[in-house]
Amino acid sequence: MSALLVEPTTRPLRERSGYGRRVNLHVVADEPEPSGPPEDDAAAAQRTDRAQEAADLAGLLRRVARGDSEAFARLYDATSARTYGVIWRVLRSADHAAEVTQEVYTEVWRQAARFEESKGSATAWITTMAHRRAVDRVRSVTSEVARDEHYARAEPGREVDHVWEGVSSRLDADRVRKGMESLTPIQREALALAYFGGYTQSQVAERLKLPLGTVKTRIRDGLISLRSTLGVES
Amino acid sequence: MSEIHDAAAAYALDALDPAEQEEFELHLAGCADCRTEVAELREIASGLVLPAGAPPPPPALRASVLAGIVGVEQLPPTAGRPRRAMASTEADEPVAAPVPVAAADPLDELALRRASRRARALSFAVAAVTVVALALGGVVYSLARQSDTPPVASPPVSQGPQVDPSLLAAPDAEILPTTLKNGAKVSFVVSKSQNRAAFVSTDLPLPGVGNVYHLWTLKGDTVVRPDTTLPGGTNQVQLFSGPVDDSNALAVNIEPAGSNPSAPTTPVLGAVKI
Repeated sequence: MSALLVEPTTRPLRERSGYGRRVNLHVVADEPEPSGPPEDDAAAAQRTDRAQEAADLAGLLRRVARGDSEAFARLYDATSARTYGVIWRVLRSADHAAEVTQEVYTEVWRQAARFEESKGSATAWITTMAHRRAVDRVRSVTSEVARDEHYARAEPGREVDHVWEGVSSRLDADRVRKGMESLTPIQREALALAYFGGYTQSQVAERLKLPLGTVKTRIRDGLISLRSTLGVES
Repeated sequence: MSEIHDAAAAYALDALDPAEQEEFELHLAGCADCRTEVAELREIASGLVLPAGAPPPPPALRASVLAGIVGVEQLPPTAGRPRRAMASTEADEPVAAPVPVAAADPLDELALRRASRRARALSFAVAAVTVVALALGGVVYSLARQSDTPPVASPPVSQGPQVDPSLLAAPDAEILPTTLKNGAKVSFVVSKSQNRAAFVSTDLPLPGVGNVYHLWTLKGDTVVRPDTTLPGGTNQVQLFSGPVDDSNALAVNIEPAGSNPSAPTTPVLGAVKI
């Protein structure tokens, strides 16, 4: 099955963005990865479900933009586990995570009218906001020393494994695990430290004792190669 | 050149340091390719975060979040864009309207995030505030080139921890956030109709012994006017002495205290178009 056949509902969004050429050239694999297995019906169904979910969330956000607090509550219910999850992952503190989660949803409420479906999914919109705030918080609140201690307990590789174990701890996460397995160890570590550790790319390079250029490349090609496995579509 | 494009992935993961981030955001404002790439990579990154990897949110948080929005003003759609989010139906119709570069999403969203904290600190009563993020490179360069503009008297202006509510309440009041080269997150609050502007920072690093932060107004491409000065510290609010209504940009740098320069003698730390 071609990826094109199983993502009809998401394709128009992409084209609408007006960025199609670049996307096709650099990021979007229009066909399944040559090395990847063909999608089965279950995967196709999962994709359709996700597309439907994305449309539902975007619809909720539009209602939130009109001041609909009931839609806001539903949006919270649908997204808070992920939002809180990413914040908690970065901050490792229930108190901080709750506080930042609250800030994020207040921003979602305020900025709902500025969400543009053509630019990306509601999930990515909220998650991006959540991650940024979490990273801001971890960089401002946690002293470098404390954080280094926290992360230095284990070798970088072990910390990373721990992170991905957590991520992959449910059947639901199979595709993430698959994606992770397809990465090189350096890609995995660089991504984990940057995304979940809240480290800057320079700090990641330092920690992994790699040239900055290598880290930049690994982060980028790691993310892109995850794309097909995660089936991420806006 | 290609180096700056390489930063897209790290940017999407919030893995740039403040200086790199600022540089990339300037680039992003003018590079549709990178905006697309950032958006794409964020979709991927958001897929990495599965609820299973973390504890569930505490149940009490829900009530707190829902109570937290009561009375909170909602922002209008970004200025200069079609009011699609407000006006459109649920129909999934294609929208062909080109998006103005200056209102690019990633930048805008980031600006909003930065502004939001300050906006909250300032006042929630700011109903009509629009936040605009702009590419500032040109301003900074032209400012740095100026050297022969006449000095303008800089009468001291009253200071306080709060921005004058009447400034914020002006219908055309805008909060323009930017990150200074020294990493400080600051905002310029501007109302041309009131011919007033303020420089605001909740945490401005000290400018060094014997130095002050110096504010500047720019008029056209050539006229740079010294405005007023302020020290570093927390909750800094400094009104511009003006005039502001004929200016097209505001800028800040660091100068020796009492030097009254007619043009910046050190690199500009940050600037916004108004």
